[in-house]
Amino acid sequence: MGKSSRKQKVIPPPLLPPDVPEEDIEFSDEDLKFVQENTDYARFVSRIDTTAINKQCGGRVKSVEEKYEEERSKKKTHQEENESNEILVDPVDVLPVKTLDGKLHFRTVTKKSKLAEADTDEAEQDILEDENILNKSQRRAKAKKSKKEAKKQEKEWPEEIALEEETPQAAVLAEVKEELSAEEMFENSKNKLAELGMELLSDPEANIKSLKEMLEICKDEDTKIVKLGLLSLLAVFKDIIPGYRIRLPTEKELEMKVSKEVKKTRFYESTLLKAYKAYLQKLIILEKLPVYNQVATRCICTLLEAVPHFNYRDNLLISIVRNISSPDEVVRRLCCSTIGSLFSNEGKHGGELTVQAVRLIADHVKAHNCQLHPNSIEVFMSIRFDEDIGRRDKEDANKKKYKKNNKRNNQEEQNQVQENERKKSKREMMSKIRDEVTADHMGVTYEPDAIERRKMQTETLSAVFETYFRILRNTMYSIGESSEEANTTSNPGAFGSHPLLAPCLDGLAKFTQQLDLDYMGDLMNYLKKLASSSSVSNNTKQKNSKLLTVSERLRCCLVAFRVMRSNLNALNVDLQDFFVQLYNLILEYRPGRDSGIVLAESLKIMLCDDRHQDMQKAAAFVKRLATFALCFGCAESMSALVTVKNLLQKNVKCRNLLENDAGGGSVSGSIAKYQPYATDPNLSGALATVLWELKILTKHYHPAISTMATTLSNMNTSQSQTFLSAVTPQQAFADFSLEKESFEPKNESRKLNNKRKRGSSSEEAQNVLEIDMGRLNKKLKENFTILRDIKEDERERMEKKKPLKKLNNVVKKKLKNPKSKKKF
Amino acid sequence: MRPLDENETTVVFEKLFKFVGNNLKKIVENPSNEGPETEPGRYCFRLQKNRVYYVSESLVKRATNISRKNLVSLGTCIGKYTHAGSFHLTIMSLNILAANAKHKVWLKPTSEMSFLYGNHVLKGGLGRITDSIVPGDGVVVFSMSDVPLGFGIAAKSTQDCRKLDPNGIVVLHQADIGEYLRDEDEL
Amino acid sequence: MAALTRNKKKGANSQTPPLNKQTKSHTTPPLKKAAKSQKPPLKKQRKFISEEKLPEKPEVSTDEEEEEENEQSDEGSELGSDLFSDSDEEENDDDAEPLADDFLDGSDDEERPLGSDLDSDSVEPDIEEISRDIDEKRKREEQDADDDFKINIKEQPAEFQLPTQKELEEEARGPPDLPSLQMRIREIVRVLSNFKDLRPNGTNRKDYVEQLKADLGSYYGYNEFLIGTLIEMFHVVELMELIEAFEKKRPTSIRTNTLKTRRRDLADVLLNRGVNLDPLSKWSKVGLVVYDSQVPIGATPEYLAGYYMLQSASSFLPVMALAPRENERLVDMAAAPGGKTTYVAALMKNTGIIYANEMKVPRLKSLSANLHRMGVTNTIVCNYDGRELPKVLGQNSVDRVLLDAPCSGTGVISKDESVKTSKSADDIKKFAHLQKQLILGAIDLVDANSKTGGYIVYSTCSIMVSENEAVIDYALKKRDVKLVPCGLDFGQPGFFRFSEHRFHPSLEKTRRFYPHVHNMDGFFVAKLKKMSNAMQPSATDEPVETMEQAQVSSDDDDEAEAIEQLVKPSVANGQSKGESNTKENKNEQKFPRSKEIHKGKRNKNTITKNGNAEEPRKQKKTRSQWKNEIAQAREEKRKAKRESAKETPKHMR
Repeated sequence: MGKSSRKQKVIPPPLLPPDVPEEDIEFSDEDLKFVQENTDYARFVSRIDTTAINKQCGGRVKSVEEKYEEERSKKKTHQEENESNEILVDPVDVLPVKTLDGKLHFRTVTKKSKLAEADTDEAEQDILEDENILNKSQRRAKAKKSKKEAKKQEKEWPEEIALEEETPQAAVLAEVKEELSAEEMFENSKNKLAELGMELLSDPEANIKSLKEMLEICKDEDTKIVKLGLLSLLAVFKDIIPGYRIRLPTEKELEMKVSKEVKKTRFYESTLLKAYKAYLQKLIILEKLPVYNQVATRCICTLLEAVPHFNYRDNLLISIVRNISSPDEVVRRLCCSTIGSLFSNEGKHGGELTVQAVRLIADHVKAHNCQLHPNSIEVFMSIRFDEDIGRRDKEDANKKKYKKNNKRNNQEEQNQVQENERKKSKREMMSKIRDEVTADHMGVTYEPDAIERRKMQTETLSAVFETYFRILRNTMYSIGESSEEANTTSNPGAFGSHPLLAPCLDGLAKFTQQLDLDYMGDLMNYLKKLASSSSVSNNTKQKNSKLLTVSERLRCCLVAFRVMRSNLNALNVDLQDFFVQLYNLILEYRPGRDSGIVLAESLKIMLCDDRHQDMQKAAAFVKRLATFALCFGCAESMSALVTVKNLLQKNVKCRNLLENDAGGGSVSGSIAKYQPYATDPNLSGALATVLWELKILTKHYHPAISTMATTLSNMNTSQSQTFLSAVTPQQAFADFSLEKESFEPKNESRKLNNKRKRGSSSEEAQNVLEIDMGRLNKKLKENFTILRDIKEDERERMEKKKPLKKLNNVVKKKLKNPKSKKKF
Repeated sequence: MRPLDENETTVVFEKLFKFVGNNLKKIVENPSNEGPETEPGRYCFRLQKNRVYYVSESLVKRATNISRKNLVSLGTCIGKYTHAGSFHLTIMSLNILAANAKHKVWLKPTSEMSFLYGNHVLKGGLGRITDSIVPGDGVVVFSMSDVPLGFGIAAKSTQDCRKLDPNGIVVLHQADIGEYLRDEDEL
Repeated sequence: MAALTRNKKKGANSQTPPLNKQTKSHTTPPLKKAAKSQKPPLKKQRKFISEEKLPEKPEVSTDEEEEEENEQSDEGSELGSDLFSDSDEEENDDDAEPLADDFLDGSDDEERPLGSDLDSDSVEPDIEEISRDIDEKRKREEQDADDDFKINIKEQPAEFQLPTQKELEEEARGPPDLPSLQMRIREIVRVLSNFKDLRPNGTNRKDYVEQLKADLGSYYGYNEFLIGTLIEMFHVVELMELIEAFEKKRPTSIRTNTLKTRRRDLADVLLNRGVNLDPLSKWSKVGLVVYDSQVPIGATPEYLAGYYMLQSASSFLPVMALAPRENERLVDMAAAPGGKTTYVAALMKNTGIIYANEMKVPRLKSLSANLHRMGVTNTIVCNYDGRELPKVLGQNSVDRVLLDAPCSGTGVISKDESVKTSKSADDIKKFAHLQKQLILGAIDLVDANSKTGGYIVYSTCSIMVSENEAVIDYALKKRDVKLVPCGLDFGQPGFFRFSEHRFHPSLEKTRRFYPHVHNMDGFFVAKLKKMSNAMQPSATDEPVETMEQAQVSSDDDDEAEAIEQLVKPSVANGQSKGESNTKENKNEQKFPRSKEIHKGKRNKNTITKNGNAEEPRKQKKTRSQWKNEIAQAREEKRKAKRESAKETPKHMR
């Protein structure tokens, strides 16, 4: 193939210009120069073609340089630019880089495309960066190594001068000379690399030695060369590394007689291994240096992804995990995506890597005391357990002795897996066969038996949950200590106060099926503490960055409920404490600050979805939500009202709140009077009060809300209505928060601080809402207790068939609460 | 009738705390609504004929002019001292416990009656249970329609209940409202 | 065959009266009366005959001789009976008149027993058995009692006679014939119902009354004294209704405990438990009446949880009359078993304070148990004799007192039969004395200057005047208290003049409740307002009266009642109101009469009483064997009634 490529390669220069017309000019003059060089080195065919290749790339390089020069001059750091490109980059795919040859071709093509539109591919991204840095190095190079270059390449002098005859100025001439010498130097090494690479690829067994040379080149102090070397080595290794793990022969094996081929392969393997080892060491060393950080990590990642089964993968993994939350966006993404892909296709390495990775990450988190970038935990989300559990089920069928292990994983999961387990197993079979046939996918040979897998499975799980628990605990402590010591100076870390909490909660919600019942208790306790966290420091008014936001706490409640829900069919557990939290959080909610969606969701999941509420609690929530609906935007109040409706429909007794009936106070148990600020819904004595808020809401400026309020207040206490409202709080919230834009321009501003704006938007609401809720609440409440007594007496009189005009009028005016149709 | 002495108080409070947890504070500090005065003051505990009563202070004041032998009961009787000298909560305390209960258990309608005949609460009869119950906690037993039926001591934690088989005992019976019929005289 | 002929003869015997009437029946009424007057001797003589010639054949022959005459006598009797039915029609209007003829033969049967058991003891055995199976027949006919009743009225006016001493003695000797007893009772009631028209000349009312007392006593098993007082209190017709009502059980009623739930919710729960119930009545917001139930209504979880109290409707009344307010000081002087106390507590919403006193130690348990079960926390339960309470709690120390006095329980006979016989005159006296002491104690407890209160409610489950009006009247005389309306828009006003007693006119503000009128236990409620803490009554009545009204009207609960008193006629509810109106008139025109009766027989009444007092004793042994048969007869009768009572609610609801 080398030959064929040669033939083609003689021609390329002429071919290329049409591609990029504006580059022609400079390309052409270079061309001349190179042609002359070619004349010198004409006899080495291989040299020719490589240079030709280099010509192209060099030409490209120049053009791209200038592009970047301009860009640099515009915005100082090209790093951002890179990142901005990087963002779009999708994880490295190995396919395009077959041979150096192919790679080059590929680069030309994609570079054009890159200039055209910004979609790029890891491979030529590398090159781009190399060359950017290479430009820097050139500038440095000029001054530094002019002399030595001069004497090193004196034989080139004549041509140089001859070339530069037309330029009289010596200075310029010198410049150009140095320029060119550096250029030249670089070209050489590049050519060398390319050549070696080609040879290796064309026939690895034959010239395995050249690996060493390439490594040598990598030792070069010129960063650009080094990078090029690393990259080309990467390409080479990716290609030549066999699909199996190499075991070096022991002494005994060495001395025993073996056939020629065996010796040959042994030698080959050993050298390959040595080289690879050396390469890795170099990488790992370089990866520490800021200059090489990116390249090195990229190499490591690509390697680990390409050959996760090969020797020294642990070292790779370690270094990756070290970088998993590096401040450098590019690196971080690389590592995360790599690990993600590790998790997602375990077939290649048979799961051991997953275990190790998780372990390592766990330790990492531990080491950094949970001050990491969220991404580093998010990778857990891509771990898959189902297939493994399917396996385990199959075993349960024949071997009973693993019962206890199964207990540890919870039953519901298995059940749901059970039915599709059959097809899963079939798929595995097929994949196995395919794997054996296709040699490139070697995972199967390392496929460990099921027991192995289950062990690893459990390890992974425990590691994951250990991490999660550590994070929770850590957050808890941080809150604890921050709440008692007033100064928040204990650094919140680069990633905000609790970087890992959110992904941790998500993960918990996802893996709750795998969660062992024994841990459930602790988990619940943690969540409880977290959810209740800032209620501790509420009394000490100092704003504490360490405290969880309302949304975070709501999330905790949500996760708790998800966890319970997923295991609920076993036992109907009432998460009292979380209800208490929600009850208080409703008061702490501020539209601008906290996300209403989370609130709506928690309303949905905690209140609407719960099968059975006890009367006191439900009543308390109804009352509080109604109050809540008074003082926030229509989205919030709508979701609140929807919840209220749902609650009222579900438990009839609470509809007593709708009627101004005597005896409510005493019915509400020991608490004879409604305490609006009670922290425990069960002790708020809500049944002692009435839903006067609805009356005000019926005058709400938003038609939908007012109608909703009216329907609510007309909901009578007879058993008749059993239908449940279809719309969930979330939907309601979504609809109305969307509608807010369309509905009224001033809603936006109102959203920020509700009351005053709201008042201006509606006269009815104004006179009520100018007053702060507390006083209003108290005033109306006593007013209503009085009215209730009046009503009561009036009832008695009615029974004695004696209308009292005055009182009636008062009552009529003041309250329109529906009376029970059925006179029980 | 006399106030409880030091260790009597501790004993009573410990018993109550097992059921109401931190709400005990509320129980002690709530303003009372009994008594003719507009400001009846708080509740207090009084010992009368080895029964402990939880009663509004104003009632206590007004009960003073009733001689000890003629005073039968006042306020709410929450428990009594047995001959052995140990203190037991009686079913009459149910109202207070239910109002402030920390740990609750709801019974399926089918198993209400068996509990009202003094049997323990089995996993099978469990309609609903609050989380974070640990063995030894005081648990108030409700019917599914929130009618307080009695109280007992948790035999299993909420977590263990999941694995428990339907005949496992969840709450050990201490008192139930059936006693109002069964043994009115002991009350 | 022989039986048949005998039967004929018997029929003939009994038909003899029509015969000799027949001639005159075409002539004028006076003659008819004369005929009536003649009849008794004829009857007697025939008995003499039967007695003298007991074993002899000729007696039979004489019967046969009479027989021929009887042939045509029948038509005559028919004619006569028709006439009579016409003549009767004016006084007692019944629509059964056209049927009169068809009932004639039936009526024959009706008459035979008179004859039959007259000689049942004397004549030979076969007659006895004949008469017996005739009795069987009549037992069957008793089912349609009312028609018979009318028929008898229509049929017998002419020849019904009070039994003579002799007959009574004989009757006493033989086993009592319930049907005949019942019929005689009906007769007497009919005659008494308008005596002046129906009285046979030569008879005076007291004989009838005496006979009625005796019969009622033996038929329903009341002792002499009790039935005597009842007769004094009620007009005969009403008396019958009352006594019949005493035979029925009252429907079970429960009271919602508003401290824990509401009537609507409770009703829902109970309905789901398969309890068949309805709201008790329009005057109660918390009462439910239970018709039947799959589960024991006294053992549901809701009951045990104190959501409701098993409580008779009548015991709601005193509490409603008391109308307690929140934050008041109350005394319940006889609290056990706590039905009223818990109701009071519920109305006060556990505020204020209630001294629940109970004298009887054994009842204390249930009292405190109920209090706790119902979640009542504002009560002090103490164990004193109610009379000591003023000393203990201090005089003028509370706002309201509820005195549900221990009493003879003559209102709740349907609950416990024993009252019929156990209570004697001096029992009543004892009770009355105790009650008088208690009410004075109650009044002394109340503080007249209380802002919200100053009321005493006195109630008994007795219908004896001496336990109710008399006690109140006594209180009015002894203390400075006034009667105020009870605030109950139904019930009948109390007596202010009864037999020889004359009570304070304001006593008509008190309320009486009767089983036959209100379908609840016999009950008495009076509400007193203490005017001053003085120990003697205020000198002037009327000014105070008005002043009290004014004062009352300041207090709006009672204002309600006061105004309600004024508008009462307009808003009067149908039957009870109407009844009470008519009742009042009845009282007016009854009292003088009953009094003059007293005047007439006061002295001999006592004589007869102690006469009767030993009479039953000596009859005890002879009657012992049929006593129980009476009992069982009464039993099956009551059963029948209960069933019918059971049905009625069904299609009522």
